[in-house]
Amino acid sequence: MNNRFFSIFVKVVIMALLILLGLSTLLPYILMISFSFMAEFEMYRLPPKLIPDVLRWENYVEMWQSQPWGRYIFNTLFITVAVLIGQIILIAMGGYALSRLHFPGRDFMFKLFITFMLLPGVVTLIPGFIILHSMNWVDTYWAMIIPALGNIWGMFLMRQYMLSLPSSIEDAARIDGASSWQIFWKVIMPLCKPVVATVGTFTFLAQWRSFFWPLIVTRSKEMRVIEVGVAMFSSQYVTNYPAQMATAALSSIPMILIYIFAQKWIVQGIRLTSGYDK
Amino acid sequence: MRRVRHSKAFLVIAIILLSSLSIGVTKLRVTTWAGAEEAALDEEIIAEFMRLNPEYEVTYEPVPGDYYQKILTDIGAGTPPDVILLDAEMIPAFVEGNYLTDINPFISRLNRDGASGTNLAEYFPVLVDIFRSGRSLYALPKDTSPIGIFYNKKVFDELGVPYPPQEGWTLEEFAETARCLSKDTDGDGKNDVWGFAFPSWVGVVVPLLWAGGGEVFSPDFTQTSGYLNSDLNVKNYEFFMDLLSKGYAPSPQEASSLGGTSALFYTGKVGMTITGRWFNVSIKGQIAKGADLDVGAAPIPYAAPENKATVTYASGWAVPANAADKSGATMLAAFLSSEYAQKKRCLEGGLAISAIKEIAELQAEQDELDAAFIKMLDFARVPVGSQTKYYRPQFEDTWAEAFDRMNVGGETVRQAMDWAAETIDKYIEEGEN
Repeated sequence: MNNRFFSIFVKVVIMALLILLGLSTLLPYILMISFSFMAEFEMYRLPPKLIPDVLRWENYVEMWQSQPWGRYIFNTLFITVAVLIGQIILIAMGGYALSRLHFPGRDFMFKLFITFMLLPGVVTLIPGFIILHSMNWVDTYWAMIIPALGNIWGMFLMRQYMLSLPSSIEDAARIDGASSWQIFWKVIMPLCKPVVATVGTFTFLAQWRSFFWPLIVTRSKEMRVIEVGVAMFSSQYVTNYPAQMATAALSSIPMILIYIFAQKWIVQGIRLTSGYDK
Repeated sequence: MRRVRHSKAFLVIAIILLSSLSIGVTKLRVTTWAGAEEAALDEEIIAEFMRLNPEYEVTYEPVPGDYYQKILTDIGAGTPPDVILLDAEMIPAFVEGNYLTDINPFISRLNRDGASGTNLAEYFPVLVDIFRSGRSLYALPKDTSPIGIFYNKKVFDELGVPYPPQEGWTLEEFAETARCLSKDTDGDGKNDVWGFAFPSWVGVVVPLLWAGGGEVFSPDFTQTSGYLNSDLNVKNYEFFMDLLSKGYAPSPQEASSLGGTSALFYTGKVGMTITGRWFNVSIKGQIAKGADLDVGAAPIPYAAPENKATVTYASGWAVPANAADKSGATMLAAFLSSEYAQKKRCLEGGLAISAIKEIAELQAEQDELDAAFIKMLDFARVPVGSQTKYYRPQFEDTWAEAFDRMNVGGETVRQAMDWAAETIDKYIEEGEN
């Protein structure tokens, strides 16, 4: 009896702690929503209030009218989808070549790729910019899409996953007369759906939130993305926190939806990269 | 048939004429860190420039974050914008790196032609001095923000404390005001309404030290020992630390846990805050949204009337050394500082104090707070950072650490300032930047 009582007690305590932890994780998001409906001086009230006295919808109107958000959303969506598709194709092919094909220098090439992962981004910033400029790509979609297609981390993940597939599947397909391309496309790729979904989810999230590179390689307002637009509410003189919160709240909706629908793949991605995929 | 031939000939001539027109257009790029509101004003100013100078086509590129990394990437890649906005504190490093054009000769020539914004006599002299180095001039002032005191009139009224005098006040008067404003409202033995927000940021500490009679660098900017850690400065900063220990200001940790200085000021938890005129933009915004605020402004306190001083911060329009059309770029930079631009940005937008005296006078007529800050320009000095490359980031970072040593590490003001002076001098000696 005592033991049962104790185990229920432990479960209740653990549950309470988890709920508390969950709420504390949600608190910044709740604050963001709440502040997006307040004036700045209302955000500073002591003690702080979570529910605004008056819902200031005008913050959203002001935010929407201040910049070409339709264009920013289109740009962000277009670039994200283009990078997502391009990256998946490239890293899948790269992962396949590095895991299943045999050619001289394969392992050296793989090590080279891994070494590139160690390079800090700032080292390649100016050379990358010069290359883009020489191709007349600055302030174009190309500048934001093409350099983002290479994803060594994704290729590494893909390679590791493909290595775990039994070679007998490939041998059987080869005996049936399948070419390397057919094996890749019709046999291996369908088996790689989980890792494709994982890499795809992370790529989507990273691209949707990308700020620095689009900022460096764009010049005109027409080529800006959502995150750069959010930063425009902060100036030398003042930061328009309510408008910034309103934009952040709206721009986080796709990410929340992605998380809800792709939670399984995100967790799997964390497990794959942590080496805990047993 | 003949009509067709004629219309074809007309079309060809029209195309030739149009293409010759487009060949005559010079393209210029201007980069700033403007936010959405300021960018809208800048776009109007640029549209006016292009209307007056149809031979130029200007692309406006506001960069809301990582500004210096972006323009340095552009400069490094050999594709600099033609006009860039620079903080005064960035000028010495940019000049040393040979990144900037000396615009003085271009300004003289353009002034003779009557170009807008090129008459240097129109500007407050202190603002032109910020961007001068010897006989060279590296930028034209966009606008300015002196450092002063904002006070919450309601807090003063509730406690029956007289407002700070506009013409200036002594450290003792400041301390007495801070004492009268500090109150323990919940009876827990600790004040929860304070006289002032404690000045720890280097940008306000330097003018406070000046007003105490001290200096922070030697006149030739080659050392800080004997200046930053002089007896005068140590005594002056001890004075503020003493007010902190008496509970007349919240500790930086307390202030931060309560939402920061702005939050404390808006909620009437502190009566005074020492900051730049830029705070007025936020105040006006809050009042427009319905905040129940009544705010005044006064100069920072001095040790003696002859020490009366403050600093005025500014950013300026500069032309990179590798800009293709330096004369055109200088003309655009000058227009961005011109009377038209100052009216848009300062008078209509209320974003800062105009760099042009005449416009600033109009500003003073329409805003009481601005009037107080404009008066401060009479005794404002140029920022130290505009004179030496060792200010940003070395002096700034070293001071921040020195303050932590006093505030958290338990060091005395003397120990922390000695350490700071020695550290900065080491940077200067090693030529590190």
